[in-house]
Amino acid sequence: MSNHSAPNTGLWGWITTVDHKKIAILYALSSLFFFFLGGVEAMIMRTQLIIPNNDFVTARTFNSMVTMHGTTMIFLVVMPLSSAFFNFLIPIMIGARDVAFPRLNALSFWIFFFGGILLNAGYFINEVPRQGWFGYANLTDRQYTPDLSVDFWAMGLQVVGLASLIASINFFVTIMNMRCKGMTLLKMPMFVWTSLVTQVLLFLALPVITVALVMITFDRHFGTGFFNPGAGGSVILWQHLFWVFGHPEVYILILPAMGIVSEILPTFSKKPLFGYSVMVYSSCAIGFLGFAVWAHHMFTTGLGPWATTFFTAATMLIAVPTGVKIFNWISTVWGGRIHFNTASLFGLSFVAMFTFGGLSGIMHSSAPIDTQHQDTYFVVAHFHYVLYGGAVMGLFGGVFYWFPKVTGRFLHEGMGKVQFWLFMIGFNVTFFPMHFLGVQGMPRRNYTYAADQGWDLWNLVATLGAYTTAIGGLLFFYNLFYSIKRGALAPADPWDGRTLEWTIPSPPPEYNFGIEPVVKNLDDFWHQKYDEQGQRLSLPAKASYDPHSIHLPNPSYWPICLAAGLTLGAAGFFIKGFGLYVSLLGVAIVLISSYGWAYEEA
Amino acid sequence: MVSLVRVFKVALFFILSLGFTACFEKLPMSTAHVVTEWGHEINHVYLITTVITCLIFVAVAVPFCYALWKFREKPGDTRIPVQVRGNHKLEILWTLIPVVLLIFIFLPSLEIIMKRGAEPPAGTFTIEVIGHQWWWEFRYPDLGIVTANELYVPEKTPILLKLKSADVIHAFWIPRWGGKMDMLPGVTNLLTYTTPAVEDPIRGDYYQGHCTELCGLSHARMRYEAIVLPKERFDQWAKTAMNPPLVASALEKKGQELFMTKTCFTCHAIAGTTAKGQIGPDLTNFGNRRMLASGTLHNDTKGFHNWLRDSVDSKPDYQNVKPGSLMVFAENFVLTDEDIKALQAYLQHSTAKTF
Repeated sequence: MSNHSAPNTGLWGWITTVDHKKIAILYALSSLFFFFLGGVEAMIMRTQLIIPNNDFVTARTFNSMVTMHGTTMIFLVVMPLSSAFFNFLIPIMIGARDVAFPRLNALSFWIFFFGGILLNAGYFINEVPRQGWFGYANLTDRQYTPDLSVDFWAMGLQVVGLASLIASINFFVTIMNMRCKGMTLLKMPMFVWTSLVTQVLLFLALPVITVALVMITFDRHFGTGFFNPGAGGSVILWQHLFWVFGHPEVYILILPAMGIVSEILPTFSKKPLFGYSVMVYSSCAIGFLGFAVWAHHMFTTGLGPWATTFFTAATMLIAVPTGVKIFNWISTVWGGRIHFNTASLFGLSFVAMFTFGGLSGIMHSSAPIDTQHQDTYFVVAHFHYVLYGGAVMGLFGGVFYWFPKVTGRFLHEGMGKVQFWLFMIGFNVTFFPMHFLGVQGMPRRNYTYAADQGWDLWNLVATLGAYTTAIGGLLFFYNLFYSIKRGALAPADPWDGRTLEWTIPSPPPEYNFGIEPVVKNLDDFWHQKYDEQGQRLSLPAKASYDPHSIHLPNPSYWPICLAAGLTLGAAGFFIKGFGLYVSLLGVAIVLISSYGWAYEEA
Repeated sequence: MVSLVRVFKVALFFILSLGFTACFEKLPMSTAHVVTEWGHEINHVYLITTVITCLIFVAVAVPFCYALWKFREKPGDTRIPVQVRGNHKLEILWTLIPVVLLIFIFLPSLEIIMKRGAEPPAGTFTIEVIGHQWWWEFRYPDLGIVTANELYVPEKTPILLKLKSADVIHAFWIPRWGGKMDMLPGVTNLLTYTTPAVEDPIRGDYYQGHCTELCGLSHARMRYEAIVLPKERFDQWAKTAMNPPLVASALEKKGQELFMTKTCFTCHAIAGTTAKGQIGPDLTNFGNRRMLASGTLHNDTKGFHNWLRDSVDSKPDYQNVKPGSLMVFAENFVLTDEDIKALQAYLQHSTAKTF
């Protein structure tokens, strides 16, 4: 029932919250923590490779870093940071007061959070996953990896995947059912559109990895042999399952950032997004084609000429809608009044870096070229340009752009710009030379390399670049701590924005909108502020309302209990000795929590 | 302004020449210095693709940079730009142009894919390549030869490699010969080459290969060399390859005894002796190998000593030279430096074949 005694901001308030904005902050903070962790893992790798035959870390540690850096950055950084934006922005941008299922939303976060811990729990007993983020069978078989490292990875991912699956259905329903009056699908902000496509990709792709992870777990613990050639299984089966999930996953990572950039560029060039409808269709096309290109990760497995031809053609085709987006972004800023600040710099750098990564992607869309590039540093360079220069830079743009809305304070501009340039320079110095290393045949995931290969120079350069980025990252964390307490106060509409979130106070009240908005146009807020000739209009006086009359869901501790039970159940599956009891305890908690949840007054 | 443009030009020239040098330096695993027909075909498509992608890059970068400069906000600028919402003609144009450009990459790619997909003619000279954690086994079924970590082939000959794995997935790749192919347990993948002509007819030409699929701890230590010989030299090699060792000195004899009494023989085979182990690399040709432990150490006194000392003294999985190597010994196993010297004499000299 309506519950408007002062919002509970203590620890208990955060644990039991079902407010989408608070959950967004939880997602953001946890993903930034994992970003730090993944960054440390990257630095360890780059330090090991600074000279040939280095012994900074052992082969085992290095392989663990390779695995955990990839897994962490994808599943525990880019996905949940995107989720933070989904959570905060989708309801507000479509004029709703919360997501469709607020407690389910809290459940998603807590499952993700505990799953992330489970994924990293191997560190505590020195059995860190080391089979690569792609976990190719049959290296994951018990015969070749007898310790629990693969189990931490498989079960951790299973739990984290469940969180994304639940969240994707929640956001899909929210977008479909909770748009305010007048907000037709083609009047939704571009970010909501790319989010919608992302949710569809998530709930179509995640079940595949879920099944694959169940199979690998059964192989390891019940000897099923799905991926064991000695028992009639197939190692290629894993690769198909993994990449049927894994390639849509790439678009799951990049689409939210594309949406963010499609919000930032119009605001800071004071022009609408160029070709909105074409941008919508191209996002859908990317999502659709994203399911038809998975085997381009497998060009060297011996697919046969016809499959190879099909996947070459499909992969090239996906470059078309992506290219359209890039030209449309350039047309968006063309003729505008481009304001440069940290947010817009990150947004613009997304376009540049993503284009570059896209072009090297066209190179190995051709299967013959790919047989030379596959598993070399050329591919490492390519996907870091797309996922780091692209997704991460875009997400950082989003952080600087919406931070004032979320907290009511600006992130420090000066520190932000220094961080941006440290990132841009460090990033390019790290990853551009990796193209050279790839052309010179340096394979990926090698814990060291011989001195007679001639790879020393560019490895040294890449490592120095990585250190530069690390300084930028530390500066960002300082900026965050500084600005939360001492940042300049932000008004409701600091950037002269175009979408609904800028119509409400910074930070927004718990109920978002006192009076539910009615939308007439795309970029409705802009049209409220300016007429067609660009003359400023005076905003109508805000109607008054009684906050106490607004129904909001009650806080609940059942989501965190259920998530903890679920994670215990998963962990008990592979804990030696008393694991069964841990699992049973977990199942009991899940059952009790579900019961409590079902009968709780929402 | 002029000076800025000049700085930019110099920087561009510097970066381009740096990149050019970096990509075209003749390093052991350079994909730019290919020697086979397949390699050249790939690089031909690669060149077309590079030109096209560079054109697209310019087509994106120039208007983008121009727009950022031209339409930047100047101090005191308060104009509201015209709210352009799109232009269908332009959007159709930049949908169609990439499609046309991609066809120019697709067609030559298709040609290579189909050519590579063709069945090799029957009777092609066949070599079985078997990946192990972390070494390479090469078997010549027609010649009855088994060897490890060095692939001998005759020049200008069509060869068929049957790629297999004894444990996990590995990948076969000699960058200067063309693309790579996975070696999957339970599956035999085929890879065909026409071997290149020889430049150095005496020593033969050495080409470096490397495993390119993460295959466990010592994936980085899984190298090999392909050695191309003139046909008559290859035939001589084939004739002598499986000859039994010639034990000349007393030290070599001691080495042989150690080999046959210590645990070596349980894992390694040497043709013509009682050593018939199948777990580790076949050592019949050991004396001819340039490298040791699949490209990890030089096969000289220092390398040999390091390899054995480290393998005997380290705990399994925690070796310094090759972590995870299956060459492990019981805790109480003793191998003195003198023993190593004798083993070295036997393995490096007695097993070396003259051909």
